[in-house]
Amino acid sequence: MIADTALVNAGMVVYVAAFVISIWRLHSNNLFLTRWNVRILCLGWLLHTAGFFVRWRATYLLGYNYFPVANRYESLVFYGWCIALAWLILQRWVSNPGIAAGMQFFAASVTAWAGLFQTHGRDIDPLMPALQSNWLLFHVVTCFFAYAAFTAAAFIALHFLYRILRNPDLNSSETDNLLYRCVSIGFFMLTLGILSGSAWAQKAWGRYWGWDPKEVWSLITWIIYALFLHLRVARGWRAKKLALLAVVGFLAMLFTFLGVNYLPFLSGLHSYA
Amino acid sequence: MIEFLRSVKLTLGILTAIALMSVWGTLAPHRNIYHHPFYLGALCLLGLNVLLCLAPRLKILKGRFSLKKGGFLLSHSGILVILFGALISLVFSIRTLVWLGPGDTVDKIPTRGMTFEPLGFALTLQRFSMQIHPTGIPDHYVSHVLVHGPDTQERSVAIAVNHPFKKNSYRVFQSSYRLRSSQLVQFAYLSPNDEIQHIEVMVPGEPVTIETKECPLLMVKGLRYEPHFFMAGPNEIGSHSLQPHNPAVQVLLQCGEGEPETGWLFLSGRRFRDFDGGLERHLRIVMVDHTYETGLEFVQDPGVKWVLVGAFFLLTGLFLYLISGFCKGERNT
Repeated sequence: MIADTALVNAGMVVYVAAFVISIWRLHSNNLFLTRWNVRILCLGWLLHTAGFFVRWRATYLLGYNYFPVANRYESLVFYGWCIALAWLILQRWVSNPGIAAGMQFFAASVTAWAGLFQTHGRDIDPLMPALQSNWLLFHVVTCFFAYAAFTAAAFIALHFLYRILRNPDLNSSETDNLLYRCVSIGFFMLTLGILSGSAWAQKAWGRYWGWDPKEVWSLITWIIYALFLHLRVARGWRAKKLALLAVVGFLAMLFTFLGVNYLPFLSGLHSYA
Repeated sequence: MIEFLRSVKLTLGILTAIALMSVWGTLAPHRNIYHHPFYLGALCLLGLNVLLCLAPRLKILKGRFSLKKGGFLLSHSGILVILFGALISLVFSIRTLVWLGPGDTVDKIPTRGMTFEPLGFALTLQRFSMQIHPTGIPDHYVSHVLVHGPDTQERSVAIAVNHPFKKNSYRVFQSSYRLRSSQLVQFAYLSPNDEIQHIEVMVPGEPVTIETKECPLLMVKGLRYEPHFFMAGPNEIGSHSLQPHNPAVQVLLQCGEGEPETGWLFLSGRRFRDFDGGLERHLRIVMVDHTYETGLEFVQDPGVKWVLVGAFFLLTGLFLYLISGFCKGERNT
């Protein structure tokens, strides 16, 4: 499908434009630039959304009828879309140009990776029998919403760590609150994603947990964020230590999403994704 | 001692240990870390830790209820119930793969103690059908079985992936399929209306010559046979997938003294893309006694309903806890 790829690539180019404006805002942060930054990101996200829906409709026209998140190309496109959406929601509370630049650059990079380098999977092929289930939509959407929330937490954390290096007396209460909210939402979504995946595996293969590498790394990511929440509540950890843990969790999440699939000795039931 | 066993310090230690052992388990997949006594012990200790942590807090139910308290209790109870369900599954579940050809019947299955467990009903395979996409990916595969038995009303059911069949305490899953073992791969040259015009037995590495319309002297050499072909990427062709795919033979084709070409021929579906000379246009592989067996997995797992209840508790609890945190956050701001 050329139309969906063109729309997604156009969205990616607009994300780059939004990123450039965010960099500009770092030096001259005025209301005009902030507004246009959000508007341009919105335009990119709408193009991205249109590309996604064109592909979704194409799966119906071809008779395959599936939510297009069934291979690596489609997953990367959807992840980029979720990151952009996460920032559009988050910017209501955080208008920091540094975090905006990071999130927009990351959304553009993920989408560019899908559009430019991930050539395999661009054709719409029928799904293998195990993927022909309504659980696909619910499982993948909840997981990627979790990934987007963890990505936002990681960029907030990185920005805070950068600032605290320059100013050790920085007030951390706002960052702490933001990190907690992003991680809480991500943790709930990841739990929903893991449990819906288990329910699906039970329906497809009769086993709710199979120690597949992707499942195990999801569990590892879940444990890291569970540690984050427990350390905050029970041990009184605050922004600096939590920020480091949010970055570690993000790296584990990236490995769950991409590393497991790219390392051949870790391929398992999720090798198609 | 009890204080230590219910401490958050221990919770953090166990979670870290489970995470590290899990990392090791994925990096050393040949070692079954997940069923090692250390791993199972850590999970049991986590269960004990959560139980002891919950017990004294149950009295707060008598006091004023809050979203945070309710969320805490429900989410941690959920983890406890999930761990209990997993333990039940580990100890009591039965899982057996049974291969059936057309007309074959199964009414008992082998269990862990090498004894046979009567199912209380019988399944007879009437027909196994599958449809394969030209890329080698199966579109669907379905076992049409007859359910019968002394106390069972006779009826036909279709078992497919994502559509298991439930009877008594068993669930039957469409797990796999395979070709009957005594089969012989042959190269066949077909007429435009798909009638076999020439057939040769394939011996790997041994060339055979076939006269075709496109080439009067076509040399065909079988290089590699994949009974369950799959393609996960441009260079990822093999047969290790849990999802069985289409049988295929990698062949070398050469017309007279022309350039040799390699590519894949399939039992089902069209030719693969990597040929470009058109020599393979009417060439196929065929098999003697082309019959499939279906792999049905019989599962009895009393732990599933516990895990389901635990999952519901965990999600509800997390949701309440999340809401309480956000309400508090709003008040603070």
